Amino acid sequence: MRHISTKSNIMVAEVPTGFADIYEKPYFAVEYQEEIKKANLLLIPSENIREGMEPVFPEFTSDFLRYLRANAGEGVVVDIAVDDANYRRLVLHSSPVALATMVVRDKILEQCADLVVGFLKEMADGNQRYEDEMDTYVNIIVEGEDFIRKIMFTGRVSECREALDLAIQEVFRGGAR
Amino acid sequence: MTITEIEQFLKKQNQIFPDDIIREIEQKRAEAIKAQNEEEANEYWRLAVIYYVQKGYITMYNMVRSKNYRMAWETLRQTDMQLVTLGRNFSIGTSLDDPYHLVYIRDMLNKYELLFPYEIFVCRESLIKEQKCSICGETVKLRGGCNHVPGKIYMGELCMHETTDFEYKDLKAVRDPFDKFEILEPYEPKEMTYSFALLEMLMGSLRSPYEYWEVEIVRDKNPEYARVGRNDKCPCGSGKKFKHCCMNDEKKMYFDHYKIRMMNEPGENVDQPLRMI
Ligand SMILES: [Zn+2]
Ligand SMILES: [Zn+2]
Repeated sequence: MRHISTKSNIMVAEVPTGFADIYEKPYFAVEYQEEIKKANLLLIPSENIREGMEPVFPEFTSDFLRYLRANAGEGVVVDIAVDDANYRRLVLHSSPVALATMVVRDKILEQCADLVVGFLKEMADGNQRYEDEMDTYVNIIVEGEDFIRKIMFTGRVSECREALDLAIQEVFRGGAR
Repeated sequence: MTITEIEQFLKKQNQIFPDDIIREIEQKRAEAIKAQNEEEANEYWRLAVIYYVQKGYITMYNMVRSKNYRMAWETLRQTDMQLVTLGRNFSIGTSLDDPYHLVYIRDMLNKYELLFPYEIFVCRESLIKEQKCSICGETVKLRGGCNHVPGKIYMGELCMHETTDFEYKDLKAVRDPFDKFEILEPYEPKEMTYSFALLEMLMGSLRSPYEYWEVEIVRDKNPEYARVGRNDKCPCGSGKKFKHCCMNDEKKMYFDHYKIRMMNEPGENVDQPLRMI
């Protein structure tokens, strides 16, 4: 865990679950698998966030997905791992804006970070909030040739860019802390 | 009434909002929709929201004046939401170019919000399962659905994704929710009664809802500790030396208070007696 400031935390850790494991999940939309397997930026639900609760996405996932689809640059293929029947959004009304967990290929990690920061900025502007008053949770699972690592950020939207840049260096340096 | 006359009305600092004005706007909007004139329909939507924002602001002000704080708070939140929706579709202006007083109202709403004492809000956690688009009536889909974006206007109508299937999960009390709508009523009136002293004080100094004022948070040293030397006995009665006791405790040493500063024009710092609490 690295503290960027008293208000934000960033962490990089080894995790076991990558693209291939997602394709085997019970929530995975088999009927769209051909499409979904082309994605290198895939949104997945959170499992077991509460005892007995089905896999759920955060409140603003539809807006996030719309933003990603509209702004994904060349080489970035966006999709979501579920179909409509399994698309459940948990509305918490909590102040931190939680983003759906992303699973991405390492070669598009930089672009993914740009999209995340762009979306959060748009959220802040659209709600007439200041970036240094708005909190967020960002989780990105990065899969490379021989590693799967997860970036976890919690903190101020205004500090997200700097934190993600640090985390990206960390991911490619190969260290996990 | 022509569109210019409606605009003229909305450019004034109104305190009374006759119903016939909004009826006129709504009728014109309906006509434009019928004629499928999107530009005009959207323009009347804009004027309607400007009317509601101005009216909401004045309503909130009058409610604070009459000490109806709970309703004032709800009106404040709703008006703020309307302004946000307006801002997603049209420019609301800048402080230098603010013909409809929207920038002024937005700033004021933020300031009033600071003066309300509400801290804890009830949030209903729920699971959204299905939504419908208010523009085309289609079920919202992840793949191949309609392209209407919630919060945007189409032919004079606001697109909303209305939840048609959901499940309540939990009721929670939170300190800083994204939408501050439902206030938690104090369970124990003695322990947690909200104080509206700041709003009362403000109302004592304001003559009109369109005056300018500022809130400042000032940090002052607690007078009890002001003249204590490092090696003196701590005034709190602990028997320890000051430097080993309260001197290190920010909460005891300092306290925040609010100053409300009246101004004649935005940015102008007029010499008026400072009011403090
Ligand atoms: Zn639609
Ligand atoms: Zn002491």
